[in-house]
Amino acid sequence: MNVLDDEFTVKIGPPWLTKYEKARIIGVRALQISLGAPSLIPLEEVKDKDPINIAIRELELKILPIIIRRWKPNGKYQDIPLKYLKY
Amino acid sequence: MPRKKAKKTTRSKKRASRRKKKTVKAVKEEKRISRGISYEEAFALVERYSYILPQNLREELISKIIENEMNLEEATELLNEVVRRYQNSLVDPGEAVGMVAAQSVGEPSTQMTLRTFHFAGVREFNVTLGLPRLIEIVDARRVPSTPIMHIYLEDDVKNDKDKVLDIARKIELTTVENIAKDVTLDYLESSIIIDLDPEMLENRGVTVEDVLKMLNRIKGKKGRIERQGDYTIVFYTGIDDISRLRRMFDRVLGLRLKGIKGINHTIIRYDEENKEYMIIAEGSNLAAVLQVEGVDIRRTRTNNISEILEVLGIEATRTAIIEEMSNVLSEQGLDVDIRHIMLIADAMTLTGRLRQVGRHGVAGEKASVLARAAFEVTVKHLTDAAMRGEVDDLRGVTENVIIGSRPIPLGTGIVKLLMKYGFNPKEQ
Repeated sequence: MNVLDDEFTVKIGPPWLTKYEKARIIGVRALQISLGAPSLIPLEEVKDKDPINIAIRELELKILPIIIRRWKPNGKYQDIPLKYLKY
Repeated sequence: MPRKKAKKTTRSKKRASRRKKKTVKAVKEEKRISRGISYEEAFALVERYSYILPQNLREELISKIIENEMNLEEATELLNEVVRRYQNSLVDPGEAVGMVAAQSVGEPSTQMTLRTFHFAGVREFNVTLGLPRLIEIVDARRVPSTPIMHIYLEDDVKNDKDKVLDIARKIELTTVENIAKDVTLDYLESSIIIDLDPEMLENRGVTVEDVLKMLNRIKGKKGRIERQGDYTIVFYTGIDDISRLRRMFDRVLGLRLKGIKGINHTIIRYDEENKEYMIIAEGSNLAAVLQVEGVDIRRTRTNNISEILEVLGIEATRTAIIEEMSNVLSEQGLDVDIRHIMLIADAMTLTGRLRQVGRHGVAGEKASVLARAAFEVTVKHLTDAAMRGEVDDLRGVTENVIIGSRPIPLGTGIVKLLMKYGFNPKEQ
C-alpha cells in the first residue's frame, strides 16, 4: 500500500487503471487484433476467439506493451507503463 | 520515587541510568502497545500520505489516533483503510463532472415547489426558498430578494433579554416615519408637521431631542425648526418650489435616527438548541452589524453572498454558496451530493471574484469560438471572432464535436496511449 517505498511513483491520477483507460486499451487492442495483428497469448486460452475477449485476456495477463500518457491541462504529463498500475 | 532518586549519589545514578538504557527499548515498546503512540509519531505516520489525503482529513486522523490511544499497528491499519476508501471515492480522470453536477442539481430543482415559505416559527418574515432562491444564488445577484441576517451574540449578553433587546434596537433602522403618528405637508407655509408618537419613541429608544438634532442636520440655510408642545415638531423648510418641497418631505420621512442602514426589522428569538437569545434581522448589512458591540462575529450570518465576499473574502463566499445551496435543497427534501454543489461553488469563485452561472455557463469561461457559436446567435459569434482574429485551441468537448475529431477529449477519449516498440512477447 505504501507507494513511497516503490521506486516508480504514479504522480498523476490514481495508482490503478481507471475505467476509461481500461475501456480504451481493450478497445484499441481489439481493433488491432480484428485487423489481423498477431495475438500475444495462445488463442486456446480464449473460448470464442472474439478479438475483444482476446484483448481483455491480454490485459489481464499484463503483457500488453502499452504505456499510458497521463496528462494535465497545463501540459505536464507522465508516461506510465501498464505494469505499474494495479488492476 | 523522584525524591528518593535525587538523594542518590552521582555514581549510583550513573549505574541506574545504564541499567535503564538496556530496558529503555522494551519499556517504549510496552508503552506503545498499552497507551498508544505519541502525537509526533502519529503526525509522522499520517504525513507520509500528505500527497494523497487532504489536510483536514489528515488532521482529523491524527486527532482520532491520539483520542483512541491507538498503537502503531492499529494506526497503520486505520490509515491504510482511510487511504483505500478515500481513493475509491475519487472520480476517475476523464469523467464529465461538470455535466454530471449540472444534471444532478438541475433535475431535483425541477421537483421543487415554487411556493415561498414563511420563516420557521416566526410569521413576520418571508424568506425566498426553492427554485427562485437557487437561481438567485447561482446568478450571483448583488442583493437577494429577501435578505435575512441571523445575529448571534457574545457570551456575556446572550442570556440577558434586556441587553439583547438593547442591541436589537441599536441594529434596527429607525426613521422619522417609524416613530411619527402623523407627518403632514403644509403647502401654504411650505412646512412639514411631524406628530411624534410617545409610545413609539419609548419603544425604539429615541428622544424628541434626537429627532430635532437629526432634523437640524438636513434643514438647510433657510430652514427653521420649531417645537410645539411635547411631541409636535414643525419644520419650516423655506422652499418655494413644490416638487422640491415634496422631495424634502420624503427625505424627512426616511431620515435615519438610529440603527443600521438596510436593516428594516428585527426579531428576538430564543434559540432552544444553544439556550441563548439571538436576533433575526430582515435586511442585511454585514459590515455594519459586525461592528456593533456584543455581536458574535464568528457565528453571525447573512444570506447576502456578495456582502460576504466584500467583508469576509472569497473562501467564505465559497462556503456560503455551498451552505446556502445545500440548505435550499435539503429544505425541500432533495438529496444532492455535496460534491456537485462544491464543484459549482468552486467554478464560481476560483478566480477570486464571484462569477455568475447564467445561460451561457460560468461567465467568461468559454474560450472557444466554436463552443460559443454552438449556443445562440451563431453567425454573430463567428463574424466577431473572424474580425478579431481569434484562435481556437480546440481543447473543449463542444468544439471537438463540431470539427468532427475522433475521439473527443472526454472519458475514454481523454486517455493517451503509447506503444512500446521492440517488444518480444516470448520474453514474458
